[in-house]
Amino acid sequence: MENNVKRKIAPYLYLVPCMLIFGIFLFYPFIKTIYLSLYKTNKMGQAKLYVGLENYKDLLQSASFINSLKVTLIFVVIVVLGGMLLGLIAAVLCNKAFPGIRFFSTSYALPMAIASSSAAMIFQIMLHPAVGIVNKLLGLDINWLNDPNTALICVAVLTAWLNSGINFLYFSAGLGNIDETIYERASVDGATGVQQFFSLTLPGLSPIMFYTLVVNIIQAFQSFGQIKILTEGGPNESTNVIVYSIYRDAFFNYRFGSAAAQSVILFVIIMIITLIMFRIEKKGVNY
Amino acid sequence: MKGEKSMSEIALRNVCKQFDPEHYGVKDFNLDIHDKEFVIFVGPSGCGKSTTLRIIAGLEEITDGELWIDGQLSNYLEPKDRGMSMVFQNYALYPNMTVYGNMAYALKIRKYPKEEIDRKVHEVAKILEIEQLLDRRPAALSGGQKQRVAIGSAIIRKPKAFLMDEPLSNLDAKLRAQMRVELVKLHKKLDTTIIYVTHDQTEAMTLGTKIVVMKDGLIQQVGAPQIIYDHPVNRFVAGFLGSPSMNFFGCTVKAEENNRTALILDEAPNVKKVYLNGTRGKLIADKYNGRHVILGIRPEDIYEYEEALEMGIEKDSEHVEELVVNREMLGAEVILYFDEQGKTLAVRLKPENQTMVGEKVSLYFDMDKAQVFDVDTEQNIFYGEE
Repeated sequence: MENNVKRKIAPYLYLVPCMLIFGIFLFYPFIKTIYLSLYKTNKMGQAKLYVGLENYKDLLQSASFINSLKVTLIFVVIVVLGGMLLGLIAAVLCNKAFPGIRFFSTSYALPMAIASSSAAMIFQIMLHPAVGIVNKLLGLDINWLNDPNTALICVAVLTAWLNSGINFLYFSAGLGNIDETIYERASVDGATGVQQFFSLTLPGLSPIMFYTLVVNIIQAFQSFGQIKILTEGGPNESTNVIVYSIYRDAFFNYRFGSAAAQSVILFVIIMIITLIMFRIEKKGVNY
Repeated sequence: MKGEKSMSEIALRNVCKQFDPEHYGVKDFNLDIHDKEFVIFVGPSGCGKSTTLRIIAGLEEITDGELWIDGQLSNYLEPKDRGMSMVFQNYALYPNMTVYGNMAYALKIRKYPKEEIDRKVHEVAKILEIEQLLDRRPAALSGGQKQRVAIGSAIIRKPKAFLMDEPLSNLDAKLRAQMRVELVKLHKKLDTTIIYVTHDQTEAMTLGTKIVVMKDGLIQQVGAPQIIYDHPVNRFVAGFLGSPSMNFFGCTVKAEENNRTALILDEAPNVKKVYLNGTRGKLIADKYNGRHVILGIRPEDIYEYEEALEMGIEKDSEHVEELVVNREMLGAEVILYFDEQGKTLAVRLKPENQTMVGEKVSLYFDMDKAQVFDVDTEQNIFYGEE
């Protein structure tokens, strides 16, 4: 009898530490965010007045938020495409053994180990209009980070480079899984290197490609540190991605309700994209 | 299957492949492969047979020497421009393509019209009986099916030569025997050169019109299967071809009268003598009297008394009773094993033979079929003399 009770309870006891951590850091904030998004708050972030979906309605009518959505979309596209392309090219280049491969592999994987804030500081100096190396080398005179036309691209390129490290790692692993001899057969069959890349390498990478894509999209949506340091959402809100907008609403404007509502919208967007991706995967990735 | 050029003369001249300064993969390889030959490279693993095949395919660079394809020096020709097609040991099917896609790939790259590709794929699929598999992916195929697809992908165009790298080694014994027959048929049907690598001497004997026996990167002997089997150039070739393999004994040569030369088996449990006659006996007596040699005799060239009597060879072996230590009934033949000089002596006899383990019989060698090898060089003393 006693044994039976023990056996029923014991599994849950093992789950407690894990659930505790999830509860405190994930479930509680998540539910609290949804709760807050339905209220107007005071400066301390306490819910004061229930307003229903008012916060959401305000957001969807706000030009700033619509702009924020647009900026985020462009940012994500550049970061995901750029980051994956960089990682893929680097991985393909490093797939063959050659002298110095360790140096190159390390270099390509390095962005993984660099904190986004320190990378941002370095980029800030490199992009400095007067003393920055970018203008010096290109012989240009562009105020990269303060020009609404270039600021978003600069931040996105930096983020793409930062993400390329882990992509390089994923793709290298994926390439390692492709059987070498199919390339030998293809070359005897008469395929050129380019034909082999498109008919064998890319399809061979498709399972890992999908995974990488999902991770990259989620990661891109959540970029924050480099934007905070380089542009602070400016100039003229041209780099005001949703995450930064949430941060600003909450901690500058003390509009926790609105910030919470934006968080929920961001969550919904990412969830929908992920669901669509998984739906596509079932059809697209084929072995 | 028409249009493409199919004549092929492949010549290798002093081809060497060095993987590092110390180690040769292939050394001083000289061979002419004529149009429509079925050439087999055979040897133990690490003998350089696959490397040589890959050199012909262009997958391996040549360190030294020349490769000529149709009178054109081809050392540096890209694989895709050599006009070969290859079947790999692990089949190397493209995992992301269907069977149809796999077979059509080489043609698609050559920009054949769609209808022609379709016609050819179905034609080849019909020959290999894989029509019902065309929509499947390689992961959903069995070993034998994969192998057929690999061969199908190779024969769909008419290359100068088919290169096959141990294509049957991943199949079970029954399927392998079946595919051997099919390959011979296919060779007749396609009427093209096939260069085939295997470590299996049975495959080599049954498939080839020309066998190239290799060891340690060096060619040991080149020739038709029967010729190599009957006249091996050295002890390695003699032992490598044939199953069970040739029996070897250390012997001492003792010349007697009338060109009759006795070979006395060293360290045999009882003193056993066998005799070589005629020119063979004279040859050995002249060069090796009193010295040690190695006698080689195949299991099928050893008989029991009655048969030996019928053949008139009973006088060439001294009557010594020997103990049967093992017996293998294979259906069409019986193989008896004896303990001789601490090694196993195998004897292949007719299936009617009822000798059991533990019994004693006397063995008679057909000495006209025996080979004698030099102890130091291991060369066949009779090679080229008969």
